[in-house]
Amino acid sequence: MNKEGKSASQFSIAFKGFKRNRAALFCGWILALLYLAAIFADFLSPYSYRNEDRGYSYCPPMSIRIWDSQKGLTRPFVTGISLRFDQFHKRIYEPDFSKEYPVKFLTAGDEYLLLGVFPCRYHLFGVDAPGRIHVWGADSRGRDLFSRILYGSRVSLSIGLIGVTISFVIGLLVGGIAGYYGGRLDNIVMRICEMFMMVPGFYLMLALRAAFPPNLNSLQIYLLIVVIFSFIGWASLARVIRGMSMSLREREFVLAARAIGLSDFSIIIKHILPHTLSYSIVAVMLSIPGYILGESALSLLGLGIQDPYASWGNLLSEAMGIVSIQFAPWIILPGFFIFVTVMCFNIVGDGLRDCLDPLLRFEGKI
Amino acid sequence: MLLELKNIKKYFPAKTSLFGRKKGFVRAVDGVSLTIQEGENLSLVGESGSGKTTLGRIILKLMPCDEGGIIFDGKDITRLSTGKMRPFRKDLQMVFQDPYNSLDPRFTVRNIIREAMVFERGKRRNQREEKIRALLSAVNLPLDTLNRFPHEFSGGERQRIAIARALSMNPKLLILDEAVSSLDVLVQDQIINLLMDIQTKFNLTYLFISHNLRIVRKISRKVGVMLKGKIVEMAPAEEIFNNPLHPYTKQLLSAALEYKVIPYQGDPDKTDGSLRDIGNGHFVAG
Ligand SMILES: Nc1ncnc2c1ncn2[C@@H]1O[C@H](COP(=O)(O)OP(=O)(O)O)[C@@H](O)[C@H]1O
Ligand SMILES: [Mg+2]
Repeated sequence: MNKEGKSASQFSIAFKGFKRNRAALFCGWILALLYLAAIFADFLSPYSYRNEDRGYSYCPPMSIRIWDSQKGLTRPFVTGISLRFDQFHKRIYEPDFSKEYPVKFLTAGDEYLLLGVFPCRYHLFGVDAPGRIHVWGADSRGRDLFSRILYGSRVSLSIGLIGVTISFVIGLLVGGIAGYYGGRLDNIVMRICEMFMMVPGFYLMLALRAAFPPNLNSLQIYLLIVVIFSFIGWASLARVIRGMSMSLREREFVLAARAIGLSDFSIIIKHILPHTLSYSIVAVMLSIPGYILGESALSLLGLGIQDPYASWGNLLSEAMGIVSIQFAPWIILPGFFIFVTVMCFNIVGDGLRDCLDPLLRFEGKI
Repeated sequence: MLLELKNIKKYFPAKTSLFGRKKGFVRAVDGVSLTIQEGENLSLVGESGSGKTTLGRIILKLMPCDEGGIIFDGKDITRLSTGKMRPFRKDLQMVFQDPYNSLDPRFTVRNIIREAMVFERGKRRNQREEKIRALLSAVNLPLDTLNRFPHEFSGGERQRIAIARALSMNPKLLILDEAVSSLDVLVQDQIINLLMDIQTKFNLTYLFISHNLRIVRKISRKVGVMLKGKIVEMAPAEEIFNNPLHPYTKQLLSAALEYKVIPYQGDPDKTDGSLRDIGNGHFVAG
């Protein structure tokens, strides 16, 4: 018994170890922030993902100023911009100090549904028209990159979670059932798994995408990508879970549950699968980056989320040409977010593995 | 008659050779017949590998037998499906060999015991809780154990929890498969005494499985000696201890007294599995 007089399960003891892992904890917080930002993307972003102004095409990141040449220190403002073309017909933006647009907080702008239900017009910050604020620059059509990255994170971050959840549930159930019953059923299921695992994931993804009509709307494509991912992802998890389930079914507490007369299904749910959790949580954490990268790759190739909807992948597709990277380096920012997210998931996954490892050994599996 | 086994056989396929051909069978249980009367504790002894666990699991229908019949409480349960077997489950319970393995480490003691009561319909929550408490005190565990997890207990305490779980279904026959073998001698005695205490209170009959003759002396009325899947001697406990006839029984007895195990050199296969009647309810092979 621990000090509080309340008994701790081994799981919660192991989780305390995670809190001592600074790097993993830090990355966990970053992920939490990213997901929070994704949830409140429409509030945090000054513009909606489709709000465009061609006059601001490839506008570089603006700096928020607090020093006025005449008035001295003032409230934060952005300047207007003036556009001219140099001798190579390249766009040159220069701050136009004759126009000052103060940065307003909780200001009205594009309408949206907060949390998907409450109609709302207020944004965390913004400037009054005709000024525009582009803290991280704008894309070719003059849409705010900061806003689009926030909106894009909704797709990119959720697709991994939803995809992983579906394949996790399928993998657990299929693996658990195959391992528990064994015999013919197990044989058939495992051959199917191997079929899925034989094909390289990315080609399978392309092939599956090609099997569906090209002109789907973005919601359909989103769902399609989720389904495709889960379709690919469950097999490897199912195989490992099946092995664990096979050894777990011989354990005496499973025999005891059978002697009580519990049904096979409730034994699998209550006594087999919970013991595979420490493995599968780690496996899931480490497989989320694959989903995020997969979505990015599909969208980058133009097979995923379509303009005007944003995802980190299709934002990056603008950065495919060397010319645009050279003239507007800020458009590779979504790539940075992909990198950070993938890295955080990996570090958190590793941290979880480290702290769950004793539990894994205790449960005598793998 | 509480339980009658008729010529139970269970052969496991032996290790397959490299190319998957089967190389014969392991005769884990090879024609065992026995009867248990209500209240008449039977012990099965024999060295490890003699098929005791397999037999216990067959009785509980945790694995099917290849041949033979199981008659429990007058009903043939040999071929009952999982669903049809359910009403008999509560009458037939088992305490397993390894107390570190027989309790789900993710369940608290309360949930471990409560799980065994799921099929008791119409009981209110507080009635169940009351019963759980009564069971805990029956096996001499303090009530504050309820919210704790199995890894916080010693082997002996865990075995008490396992006994409480089995008792919660009010079984008629309780199979104890090496239930005390992994415990140290002092705790063994405590558990045996506990089992004898609760026998009359819960109206139990024990099938006590052990590799050690010494342990079973106190608790059993009848003793069966198993060797390589067969019963080679079956007699009232006093007879076995005072007048062992089969050479293997004699070896077991001396091993139990000297605390060491001597593997039996003879071959039970020479006998046809039938037992000779010696008198005094004493039967021996060959
Ligand atoms: N599931 C199984 N598969 C194959 N062989 C088994 C299995 N269970 C038990 N056996 C074999 O059956 C024999 C009897 O085992 P067991 O019943 O565990 O003996 P005991 O409990 O008396 O030590 C042993 O030789 C063992 O290897
Ligand atoms: Mg055994």
